[in-house]
Amino acid sequence: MWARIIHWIEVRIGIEELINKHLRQFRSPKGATFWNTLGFVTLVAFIVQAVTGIMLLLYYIPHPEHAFKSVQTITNDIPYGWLFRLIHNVGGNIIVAVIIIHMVHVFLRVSYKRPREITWLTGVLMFLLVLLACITGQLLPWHQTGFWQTTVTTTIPSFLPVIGEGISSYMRGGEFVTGITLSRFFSFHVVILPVFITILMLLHVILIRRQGLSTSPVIEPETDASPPDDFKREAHPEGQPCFPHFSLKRLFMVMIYFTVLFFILTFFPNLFLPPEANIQADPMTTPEFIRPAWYFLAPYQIIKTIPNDVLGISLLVIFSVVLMFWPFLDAKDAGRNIRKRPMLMSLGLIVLALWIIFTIWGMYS
Amino acid sequence: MERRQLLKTSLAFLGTTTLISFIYPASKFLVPPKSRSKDTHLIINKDEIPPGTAKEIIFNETPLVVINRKGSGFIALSRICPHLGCLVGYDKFNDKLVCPCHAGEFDLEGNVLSGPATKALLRYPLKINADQITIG
Amino acid sequence: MIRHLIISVTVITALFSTGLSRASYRETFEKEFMLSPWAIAKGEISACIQCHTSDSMDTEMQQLVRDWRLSWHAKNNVSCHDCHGGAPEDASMSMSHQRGFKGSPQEIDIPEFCGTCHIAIKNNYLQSGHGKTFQESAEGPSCITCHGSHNIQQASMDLINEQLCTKCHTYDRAKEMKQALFMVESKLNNINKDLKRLKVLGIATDRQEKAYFRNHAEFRTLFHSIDVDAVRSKSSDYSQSLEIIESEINESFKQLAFRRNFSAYLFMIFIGLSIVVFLLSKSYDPQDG
Repeated sequence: MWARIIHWIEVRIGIEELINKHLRQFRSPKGATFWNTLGFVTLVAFIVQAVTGIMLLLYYIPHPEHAFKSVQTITNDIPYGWLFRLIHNVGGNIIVAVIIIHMVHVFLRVSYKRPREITWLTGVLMFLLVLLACITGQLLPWHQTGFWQTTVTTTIPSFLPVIGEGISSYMRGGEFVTGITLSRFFSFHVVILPVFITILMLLHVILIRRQGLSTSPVIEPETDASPPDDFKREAHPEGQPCFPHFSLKRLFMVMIYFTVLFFILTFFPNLFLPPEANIQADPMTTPEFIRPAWYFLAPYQIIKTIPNDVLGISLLVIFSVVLMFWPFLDAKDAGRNIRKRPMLMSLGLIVLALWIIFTIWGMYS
Repeated sequence: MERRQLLKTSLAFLGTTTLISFIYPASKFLVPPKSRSKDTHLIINKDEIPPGTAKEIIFNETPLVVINRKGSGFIALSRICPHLGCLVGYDKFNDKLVCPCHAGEFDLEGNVLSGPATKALLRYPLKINADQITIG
Repeated sequence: MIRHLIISVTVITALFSTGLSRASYRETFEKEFMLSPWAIAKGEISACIQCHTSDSMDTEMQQLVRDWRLSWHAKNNVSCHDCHGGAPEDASMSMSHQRGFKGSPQEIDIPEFCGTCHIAIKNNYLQSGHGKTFQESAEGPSCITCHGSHNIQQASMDLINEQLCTKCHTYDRAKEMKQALFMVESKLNNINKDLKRLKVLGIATDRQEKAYFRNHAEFRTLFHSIDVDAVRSKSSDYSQSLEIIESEINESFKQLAFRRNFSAYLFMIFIGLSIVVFLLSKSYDPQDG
């Protein structure tokens, strides 16, 4: 019976060939570890956000008078509403952590070098768009935390000369955070950003599959000193087939992701919901402590520390641009083995260490 | 191979359990709960409330006041003050509703006239027949 | 030719009419979004406070503002003009009788002054032994005797203490009243604590908070009649109302426990899945594909 159904599909789509080419013959490089699967985990995390987001969308009302109440209704009255709301809330934070780990891994593998510059570029762009999605998502429940965090976030660009006020005004739709801001952020969070992220993701994945996964220069040492001059697909004949070997590795990391997610949900369900998140937004009352989300603590602390606001913000902008175009700024003929490149290694580790230090400082200041 | 087969079976079993553990809540999620109303209707006789007076009743565990406004007819408003929850009273000499806790004042439509409340009193639907008022 | 003309005229009219309706829509839009309370940022410091904290004022006047800043009134945005009248946004009208400025009340007028807002309490007080004594002889406690005038804190049972009450009579009467209040007050305290906990854990406590406040306010109002028998007879009624809130609170705690259990169940399943997938993945290494 099954065989007949499969044969029916086979005659029309040629599924056997597709499975062979893309799942069995597509090989992961020799020595591919669990770290290499983080990109796939990010994809799964994004899908989880999208699915839970759509479920929340069924009951959420994007109007200042009803937003908070609708989220409260979802959390308390709708059966299992709390589950999907918390998964979306906690998942939104985990996805940022996963992306950062993935980025650090790719950086330390120096996998961004030719011919993978576009892959890196789309990756960093996706990261920035995901951060934007987090910013816009914060405002939607219309609680004190989100409202005042948004007020702070949309005021930061205004310190830039000439264009600053304009940017802030566009973000907020006016001089203050109002219902217009909510509508704007809602459309960005639900439609505009997911569409762009999906397009970039497709580009990212198509490139990876077209070029083949990058090797670890430690295990498969580079045969030629300079990178190839024409298109060369890395077939990894000594590697493992994607299905089932590498797929199982990917599945394992996905299970770890879910385990971490539900660990937080069981023991620390309010880890990302401070007490002010249970009070409706009140433009007249500023809560005593407004702090940005943990992934923004470092940039926020940097801006607070550097006495000149314009300098602080420009520094962050320059950092993002450098990060985006790093493959083009990296030494052209340098190899991919980071252990042979102490300068690059120290640069990467210093940036990482600084980011961690500023985050911890931001937490306690 | 036996071990692998065992693992594959366990994976299938656990995987199906997980799937059901998400599909069940998701399907319940799609059905919003019914509203918590026990008394669906409450009937009062019109002559219990002469014009210019009001009657305090309890409907669905909520204290309401039904006012016979001179010239504008009957209205049923929740007595729960939107400020902190005290019960407002009908002031027939001044045609308004007053909250005794912090002097919040409301007009006979429920709108805030003065005081700390920022939202109007909740209005309840009522139907008027020949000599009866039905609430709910 | 005529066809094209008709079509163009129709299209242009349609565009214009959408333009016109957009103009009137703009008004509604502005009213709904921009002029609503959430569109306004925090208010400025009032004129009253600006003057009364400046160095041209004597220390007594400056202390008033400092006292007020520590008060429960200040935490709830009740400021100078809410009691004393006047215009807080305009220094020239801040003490104007036109804007209802009352100044400092005479001692005999204090109950009326506080009673402008606290209506029910004023009524009960005026009928009580305390109130009648105060009105007849100007001796006896007024509001500020127990509550203070500017540094007013949240009222609690601690206001009934030996130091305060023995100013005029022996403590045993006050002690009797404190005992009569005890049961309901301790229930109220517990409910308040539980509601605060539930709120931080994400439960919607709005309805119970209002019911709690309602009972709380009515019970406190009753106290001001200083009638121990009345308090005793009404205590069981209040206990019953509070028990309803308590049972709803218990339901909420049960719901939280259910959530934790369900999440823990999912957590365990995923641990199981991780182990199985890991073992399965290892069973394919070294590779034999």
